Amino acid sequence: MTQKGLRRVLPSQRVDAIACEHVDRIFESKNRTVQALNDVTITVKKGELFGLLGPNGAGKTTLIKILTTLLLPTSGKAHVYGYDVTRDENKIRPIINMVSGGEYSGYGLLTVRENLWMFSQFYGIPGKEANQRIKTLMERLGIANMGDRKIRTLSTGERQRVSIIRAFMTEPQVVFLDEPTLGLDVETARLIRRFIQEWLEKDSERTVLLTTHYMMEADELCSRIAIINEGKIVALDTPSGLKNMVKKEISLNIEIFPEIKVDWLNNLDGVIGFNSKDAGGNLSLRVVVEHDAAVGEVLAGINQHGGKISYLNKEEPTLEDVFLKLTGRGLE
Amino acid sequence: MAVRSSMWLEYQIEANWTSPVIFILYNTLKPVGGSLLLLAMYYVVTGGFLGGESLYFLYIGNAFYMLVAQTLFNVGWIIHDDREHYQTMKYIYISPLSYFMYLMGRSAMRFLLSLLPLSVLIFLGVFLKIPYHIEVLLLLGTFFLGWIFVISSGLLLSGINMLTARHGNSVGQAFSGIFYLFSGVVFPINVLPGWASKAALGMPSTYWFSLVRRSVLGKEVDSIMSGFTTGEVAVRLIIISVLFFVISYLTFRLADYLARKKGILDMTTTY
Repeated sequence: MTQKGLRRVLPSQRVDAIACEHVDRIFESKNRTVQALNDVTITVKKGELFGLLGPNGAGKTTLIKILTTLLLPTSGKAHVYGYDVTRDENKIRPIINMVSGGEYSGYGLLTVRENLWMFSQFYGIPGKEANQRIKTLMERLGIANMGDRKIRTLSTGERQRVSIIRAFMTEPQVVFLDEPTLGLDVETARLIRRFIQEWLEKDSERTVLLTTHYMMEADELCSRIAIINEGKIVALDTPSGLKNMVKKEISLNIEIFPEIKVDWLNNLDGVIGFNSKDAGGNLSLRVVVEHDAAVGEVLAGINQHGGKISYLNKEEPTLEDVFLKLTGRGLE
Repeated sequence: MAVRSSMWLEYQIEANWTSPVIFILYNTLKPVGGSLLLLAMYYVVTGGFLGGESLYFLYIGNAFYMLVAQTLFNVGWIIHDDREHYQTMKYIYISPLSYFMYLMGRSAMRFLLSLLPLSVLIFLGVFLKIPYHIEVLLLLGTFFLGWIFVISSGLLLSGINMLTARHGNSVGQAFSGIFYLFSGVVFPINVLPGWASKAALGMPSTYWFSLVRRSVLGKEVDSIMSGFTTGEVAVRLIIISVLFFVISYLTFRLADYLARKKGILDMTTTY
């Protein structure tokens, strides 16, 4: 894996890819203090695709920033491949890379190939090898014919594919993917997910830390998932292990018309959590309840508040139900 | 290789918007036009155009000042541009390339690009009857020391820009403005108030512009700076430049640490 001009000093093979111990991060400004991370302790083994699932503002990006040496923790210890993120950043940087979703990074006046080549040089990859890697990855991600296009002319999905190539062409040991499919169309998101899975399968030492608020994505990709809410890890298990937490509970999907207020569910005995969203004048409601008796009370409550049910379905528990149970609110 | 890539990036960002010919014209005519404008002002104020040491002083000082101003103005943009406009700073920052070396590469290219209009201005000076007495070796050494002092200023500026939002160009202009006023660029430092003259003797730029005049005109016309031999000026410039570089580097490292502590290395503002 050693590249010319690139100092990769990998420590003992037995160390974990990522280890965080009691990591806190507090942001202080004149007006307020925000605890973005609260006593976060996780370990990610080599070869894992580890998911960090939580709503916007939960602390996912903050943790990634700490692990990629962009941000210092307020307290606690964080290690990547055994190296301390606060002291050993020069040893960590050659073996990591990252991709953030929902942004427009890149030098718009440069072509796709120029952008990628430039970043390859920042990693000391010899020119010929860099060109070969860029070519292979562009073909794999379906943008082989876009090498001469300026970055500013690309669509959101095309830009994100370029970002993925930028990160993976350096052959990192650990990749941090921060909402990599945010705002992408279904096809591009699927392509990127498949690419990530295939990349991991090629080498058992490769590790990915993925943050997302798409439960389906976490469920499909991750070997283990940590659920994070308001900076705190509230659960950590395999996807099936997490779903077992709500095995006994009942998940209901209800379409209600017209749209009514559902705050009263907070006070209803037996309701574990709910998530509601506007569905074009109707209300789409997902409720997790403890027992059958509560189902009747929810349905009666809707009727009492002037709502009529146009669709009702009892579903298999999902990660969102786990999140609802643990935090009392939805992921979106 | 990585420094070369950052130099290449600087060239691309500066030049990629048009054809090489138009870029060279733009890169040359803009600063040359600015210098000629100053000459026009000189003509209006003095009523004369040719002859007189003050014209040589002003013309050469202003031509070489362009290296300082253009490089600093540009370095002032790099961090804010990469961080907020291109949103690439965090990806460059987490690469194995030292961010310090990246900035060095970018500023070195800007310094080199500024040499072309400087050459044109020196050539135009022939028509203004500037009495050139160029000492090539001294001039090459002066360029090298000039680059050291400019990158030191650039580092200090970059440190400030790491902690601020969207004031890159104005901070850069303020920096270069200080050198313009207090370093004997277009007027001798003996016309400054006493405290300012003393302050000028603590700035590397004062000695650099003195070396510029000695290497291009073969003499120093500033009455205060004439009191030093060329060797003394060079030694003082080297010592102050090294000190300035160390202070700038430490300031940059401190700003780097604070930016990482505050979590603003990927800040995007709408300010």
